[in-house]
Amino acid sequence: MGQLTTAATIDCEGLTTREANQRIHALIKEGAREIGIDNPRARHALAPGIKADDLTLEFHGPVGWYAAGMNDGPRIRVHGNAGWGLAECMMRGQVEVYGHAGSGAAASIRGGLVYVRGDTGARAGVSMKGGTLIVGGSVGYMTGFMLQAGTIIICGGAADGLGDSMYAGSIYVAGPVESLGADAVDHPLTAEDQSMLAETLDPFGIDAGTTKFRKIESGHRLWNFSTKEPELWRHAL
Amino acid sequence: MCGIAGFFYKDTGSQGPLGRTLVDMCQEMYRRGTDSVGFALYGVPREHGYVMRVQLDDGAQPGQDEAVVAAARALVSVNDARFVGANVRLEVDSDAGGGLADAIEAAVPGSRVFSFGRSMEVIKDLGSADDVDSVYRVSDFEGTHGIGHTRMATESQVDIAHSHPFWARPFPDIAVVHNGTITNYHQLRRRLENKGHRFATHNDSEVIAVYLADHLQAGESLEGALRKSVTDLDGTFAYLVSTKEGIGLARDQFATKPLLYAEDEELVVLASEEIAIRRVLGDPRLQPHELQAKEVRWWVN
Repeated sequence: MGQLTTAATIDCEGLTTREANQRIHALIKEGAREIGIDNPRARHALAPGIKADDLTLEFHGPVGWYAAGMNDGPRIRVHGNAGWGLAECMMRGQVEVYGHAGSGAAASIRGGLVYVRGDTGARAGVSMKGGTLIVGGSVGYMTGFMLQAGTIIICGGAADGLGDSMYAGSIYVAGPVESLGADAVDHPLTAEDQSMLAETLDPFGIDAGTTKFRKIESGHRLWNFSTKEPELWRHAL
Repeated sequence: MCGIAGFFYKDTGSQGPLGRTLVDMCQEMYRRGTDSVGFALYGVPREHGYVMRVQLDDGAQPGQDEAVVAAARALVSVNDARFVGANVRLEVDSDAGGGLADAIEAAVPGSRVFSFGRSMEVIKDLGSADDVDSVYRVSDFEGTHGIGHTRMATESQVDIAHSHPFWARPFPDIAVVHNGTITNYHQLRRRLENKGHRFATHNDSEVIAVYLADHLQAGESLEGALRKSVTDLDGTFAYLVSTKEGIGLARDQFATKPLLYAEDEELVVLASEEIAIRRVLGDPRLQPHELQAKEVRWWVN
């Protein structure tokens, strides 16, 4: 199969969301490895459930809610915004959004990488079980809520409740933090952290060397219930 | 789940296809609620007199709509009276204020005034945005700004009275659309009723309109009332309030309900979902942005 036949384009205009998604899956089956998608116009549930490596999907415009959910392997680039629940439950792969994302970006991902160049709404990285979320701008309320594993890197600031009730994992934040959530505590930034940040951010043109990050992790005080700390529990619940 | 939408031209007096825009936005969000759709539309305000819309309760006697017109004529000079869909629309030559609505309702049992203003026209009915448009010709309305709502009823009945927007009685030209649930509704309603405010429905969203009216009555600015509402209202909410001058919004402390805005030098577009904004906003460079928890914004001319 020649190089040219692996590239394909879909125009969402006039298609239902189901038809657009079926075309994406059909093209992948036929061997397409670079698929451009025109006129997504922020419609919901685009490009879910794709299990394929060496595949790039390029959305020329904004996608709506639950875009690129439950994927395993593909690289998906969105030249526009994304709505709520971006890349939810992703197993592997990479999702890049070159605008802003709504609430719940990278919710419950188990692996892979989600990059949002702009800002995210509330609860970005909620309940992540692995993988990496990078936000070039600022994040909303309760980002990293109940984080269980994985890494969140925020190049801008964070609204109230950052890392609330996180079990494990790490949050790195460069800008001002309105407040940390329950049991989210500062940890010293190590040389390993610094080199990990440099390596992870470099592909996105962000120079971690010139940015001073703060590292937030779980204080582990919510791991086991204790009647001796009523204040902590009142706040957490 | 409901969908809310707003549109505002920044230049004073600048008008455009407001009705068409809001109908399209609400239709695009039909998945968020298909029970009913409503709009509060604004044009250049009259210097004198009001435009009002009156609805008759289910089971109203035949001829009650004419009785509304007769009641209005007995009270004030009526320049125009029409029957549109389920409404009586009146243009009256009076500066008596919102008390006129009370007087008409007292004269015709089963009538409810749900729209009252120098400029504001609330239009609401059951069905989709396109259904409501086909009856009321909302898309013909040229205007300066307005708000819209597509409803999925969760805690009160599906009828025209319980549909959004809600007029902030007795203040002319103020209306509210809301997505969410107000959990301290009963407590707030009791408190406001004790202060003499009237409720026309059992919809929890109505309490936001009455709450804002109460603060205005106390001499507070609408912006101040919006800010206080973020802590006084308990529950989940993203709501829009429209006045003769513009549009305001507030979002709850947990950011539970979606709301985005996009603006440039000429206009502001607001909606629960970007899909609605993209339906009406041609310029792809304009990137809608999600509002933060507790955020309050305000655009006026």
